[in-house]
Amino acid sequence: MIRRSLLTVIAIQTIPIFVLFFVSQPEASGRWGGGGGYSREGTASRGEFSSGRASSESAGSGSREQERGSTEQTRSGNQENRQSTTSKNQEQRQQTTESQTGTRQQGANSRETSRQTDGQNAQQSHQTNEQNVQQSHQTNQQSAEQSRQSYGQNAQQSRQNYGQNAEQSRQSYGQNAEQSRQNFANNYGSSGSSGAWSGGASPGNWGGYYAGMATAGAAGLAIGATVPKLPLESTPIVAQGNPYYYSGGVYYAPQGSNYAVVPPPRGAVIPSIPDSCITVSGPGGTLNYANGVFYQPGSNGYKIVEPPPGILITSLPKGAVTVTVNTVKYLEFGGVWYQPFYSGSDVIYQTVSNPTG
Amino acid sequence: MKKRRWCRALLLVTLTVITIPVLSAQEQGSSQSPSEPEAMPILKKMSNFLAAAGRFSVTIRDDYDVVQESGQKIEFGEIRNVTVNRPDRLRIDVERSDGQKGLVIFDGKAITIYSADHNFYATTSRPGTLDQAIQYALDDLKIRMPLALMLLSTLPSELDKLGVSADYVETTTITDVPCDHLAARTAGGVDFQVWVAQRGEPLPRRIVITYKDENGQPQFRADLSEWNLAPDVSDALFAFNPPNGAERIQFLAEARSAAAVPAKGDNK
Repeated sequence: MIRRSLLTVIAIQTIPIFVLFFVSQPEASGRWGGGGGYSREGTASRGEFSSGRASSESAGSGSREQERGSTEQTRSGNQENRQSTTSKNQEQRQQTTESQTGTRQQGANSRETSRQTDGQNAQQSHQTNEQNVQQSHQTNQQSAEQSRQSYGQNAQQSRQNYGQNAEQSRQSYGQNAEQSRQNFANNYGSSGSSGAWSGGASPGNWGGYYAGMATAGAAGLAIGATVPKLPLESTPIVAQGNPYYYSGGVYYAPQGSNYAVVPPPRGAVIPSIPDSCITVSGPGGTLNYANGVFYQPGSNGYKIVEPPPGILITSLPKGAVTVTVNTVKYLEFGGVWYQPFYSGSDVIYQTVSNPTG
Repeated sequence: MKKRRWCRALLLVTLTVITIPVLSAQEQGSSQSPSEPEAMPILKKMSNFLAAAGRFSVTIRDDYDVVQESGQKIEFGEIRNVTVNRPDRLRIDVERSDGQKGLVIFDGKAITIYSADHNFYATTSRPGTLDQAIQYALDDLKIRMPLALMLLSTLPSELDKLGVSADYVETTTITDVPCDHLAARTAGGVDFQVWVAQRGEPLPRRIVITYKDENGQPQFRADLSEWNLAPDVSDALFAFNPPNGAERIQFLAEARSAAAVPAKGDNK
């Protein structure tokens, strides 16, 4: 009897000893370990280009220091979005499979346990061991699942953050929202500007839109250049009742027996947008933007539109023309007018309605 | 009865045995070992020195992580030549890692920012002290001015406000002068490390900031060199003369607040 209670006391007292040991240990090594107690080992200290835990790091941006990088990064935004969606789907599929497996295992466990409730002690303890092993296996799976989940969440969150960044609405966009919404309504409510590329310009009259050095799309063809034949995979589109052809970000209009490279015809609907598109938002919703062209996503494709005033763009294509109106400096590209501002230390461009009338 | 007394005695003895080392460890923890310098006094000394300096110039070579949406961390950098002349002069020449050059000047009356590549500049009237101008540039104009805290004459109290606690890491000997390497944490969840020169003036030679609550825990790292406590501070240095063809544009923040005021007032 005495020996038994003695063992109990020792057993009970051993627990706090361990607890105290573990609690006090980090503190002790934190202060008195070698080299001032700061570990010299870590992912970064290895200086390698790969790391086993790299995937747990997920994206995030938003601080002022990151402005430049994140806007540059948006160039490949579309592609990345597509990629991450795919990988997320994969993750979800994996998760589902695993949690199903987990549930089955649990069920098996409990059935086994209940069957053997009246069994012998030795067997039971054996089984408990097995269960423990299984359980810890399960826990591992669960935590792996959890970490995957939280990664997914992070990724999503960071996408959101990133979206906000790309939209460039960081700085008090809300202040202007009311006013801009009105502008937007005015602008779009007037029949004159609907669908027209540049105020009163008639569709098809592309000659005066771009400065001579402006180029169209990835092909590097100058606006106004003519080609005798269309690229093989070109898509016919119609805008303002006029026929156009679209291929790889370049728009062509028939001109005699040739085809002329023209600015993206406003109102045209294309099935897909260039990979370099970024998402911009302003009053009136979200648009895609690339290389001086704004696209409005719709059910049957992307419509080339005139942007509402108040959208912020971090860079304009080469070839934007500087125009000073009443001492205020503007830039014009493809019939869209921009006013440059300093946003922090960077120059940005805000869409404005045509200041020349 | 006998049993129980026995057990109680054993319990008492064991508890005593456990408690002694724990208590002594706590005592050790609260005091510094005689061979290890204390961090906070070094940090205070540095911040007091910087705050009291009438003028100085320094070259800051910094880089910082930008965690991309993909999770990839990309480093960008810049070189900043900073000249401070208290109470009301500042000039920062910036060259970014992509080659773009810029300038920020405060001449006691106005804050001016210039970008050579765009050949744009913006100026806003801001009579007052350098401390006030820096606060306005950071808070209202959102101008990037890394380590701006170090330029404030209120640096010591700013550090207090941040709830900074610091530890001593080691003496770093591989810097141009031996440095005290301090590891500090702010109450706001930002960690930073600073290397303070052991010899001569207690000036920071390197600063690393870790945004540990940000995704990917990006870092800002800066080497501070060419400290000069008696730089040229002629008026010409702090005067902005727009280069040929430079066009003046507005600060977006000011354009918006200007647009917001009449909208409220006379509905225009």
